[in-house]
Amino acid sequence: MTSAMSPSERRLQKELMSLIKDPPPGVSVDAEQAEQNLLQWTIHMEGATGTLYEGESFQLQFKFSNKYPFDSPEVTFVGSNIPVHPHVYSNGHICLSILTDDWSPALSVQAVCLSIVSMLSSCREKQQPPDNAFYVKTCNKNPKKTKWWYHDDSV
Amino acid sequence: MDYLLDLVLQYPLIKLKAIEKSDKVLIRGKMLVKNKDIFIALKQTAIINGRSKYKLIKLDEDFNESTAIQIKQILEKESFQNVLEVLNKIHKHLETEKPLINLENHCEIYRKVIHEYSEFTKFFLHLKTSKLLQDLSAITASITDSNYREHSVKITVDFTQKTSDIFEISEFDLPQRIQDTFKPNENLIVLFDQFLARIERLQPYFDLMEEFDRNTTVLDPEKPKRSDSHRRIWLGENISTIITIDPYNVFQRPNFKFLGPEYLVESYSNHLNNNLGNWVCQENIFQGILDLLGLEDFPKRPTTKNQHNLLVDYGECSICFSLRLNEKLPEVICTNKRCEKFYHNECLYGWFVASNAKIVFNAISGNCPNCEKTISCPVLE
Repeated sequence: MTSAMSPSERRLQKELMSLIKDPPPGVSVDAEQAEQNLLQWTIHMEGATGTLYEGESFQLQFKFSNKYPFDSPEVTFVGSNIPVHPHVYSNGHICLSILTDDWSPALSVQAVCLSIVSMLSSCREKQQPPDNAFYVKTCNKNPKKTKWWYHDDSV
Repeated sequence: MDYLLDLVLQYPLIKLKAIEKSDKVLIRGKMLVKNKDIFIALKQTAIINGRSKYKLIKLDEDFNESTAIQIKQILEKESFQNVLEVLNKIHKHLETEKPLINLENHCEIYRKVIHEYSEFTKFFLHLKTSKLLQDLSAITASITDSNYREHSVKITVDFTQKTSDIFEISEFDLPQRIQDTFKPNENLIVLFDQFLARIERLQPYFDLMEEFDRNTTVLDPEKPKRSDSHRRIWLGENISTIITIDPYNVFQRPNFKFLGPEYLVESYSNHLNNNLGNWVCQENIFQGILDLLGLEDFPKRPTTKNQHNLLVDYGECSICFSLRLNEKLPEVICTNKRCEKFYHNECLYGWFVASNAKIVFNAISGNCPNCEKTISCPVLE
């Protein structure tokens, strides 16, 4: 049934293969799960050595719509360990501009993972976002529905 | 997708085909009803809550109009989980219907086919392979030409009894010209002879195309067929040319189109324009083409480049991450020298529309998805 694959599925398949074969350091994808459902991936991420998150491991969930890559993926931290970071809410939502306003179809899952790794790596103090309690209570389940305010790029 | 195996087992002659630009499928082929292959074609029209609606497009003429209407009514009322379910439903209904009794007398044609085929194999002793299908509906044959190239052909038999020219060349791999398509003939030998004459006439064309395939890095077509009269040839890391040959006028100056960033294209086009006047109808066309381009030889693409696993390879579209989209190659290139990413017109246009870019006359412009410099592409219908 390869001929019936849409360009969007073809691209996801190619990204998945590339991520399995040649993942960025500290990143790995749950291949079996992603192959069963190409629209939802789980990615394991290790905190980089020499950073505040060294030794910790996290799980990211990627959900794709059938408009991908015209539509950005929905990316959240899931599982028992959510990183404590000024841009990561305790429900796993991430405040990162390339996931919404600054998304471009030339970006890829790999590029998003690298951005998140570097976001974590540049953190100097483990701290929840100032509005965490309020946000977590009031936000939509889908982080893409949140009107983000991208405060600063330093962390 | 568990039903797919059952689908193949129960209806091996049914084919599914995705309808372009949609998530729906066309279903066509034959199903066995009362020991007879019945032709059927359906179209998936809607998907509601995981169940699909289908529409009957064609039903074998062995069944009369009222049967087709009954099936149409069933399909209008019901929706189905998958393709297998809808085919089962139709199959069950057809089993209860009486087909029109339509036993034509084909004896005359059978006799003629067998006679012609035996004459044919006696006449052309240098055939490489030849085969008459068991149901006498077609003949396949292949032959090696004077340069050891193999050519095969399929000739089908017309059983409608509307004409005496029952043999028709239906499948072959040669470049076509409208003015001389093969016409049906009643004589198999005469028909095959026309095919041979065509192969003979195209020898210089085959020679030239093989020279391209041997001596250049061909980017497209991926696996050239004899009917493909163009080659996209690698000239450098960022530049390629599409050379189109007229198969029946090989010695005429071919057509060139350069693909790549503007400054490189310009340098090649200038070279070409300066040399155009020197083209003479020469014996060695390949050398002539090299002279036109001002090249000693076509450069060979270094193979080591391909070995590392790039997400987007050179020349691939940076939006859909593939080379071919509906048979088309990426034709828009970012003009920023530091970027030079490739895009399919369709992909870039789709992104510009989704991001509310500006349309001016027939072009739409927005930011390059990779480098964010302004680029534009033609508006698609």
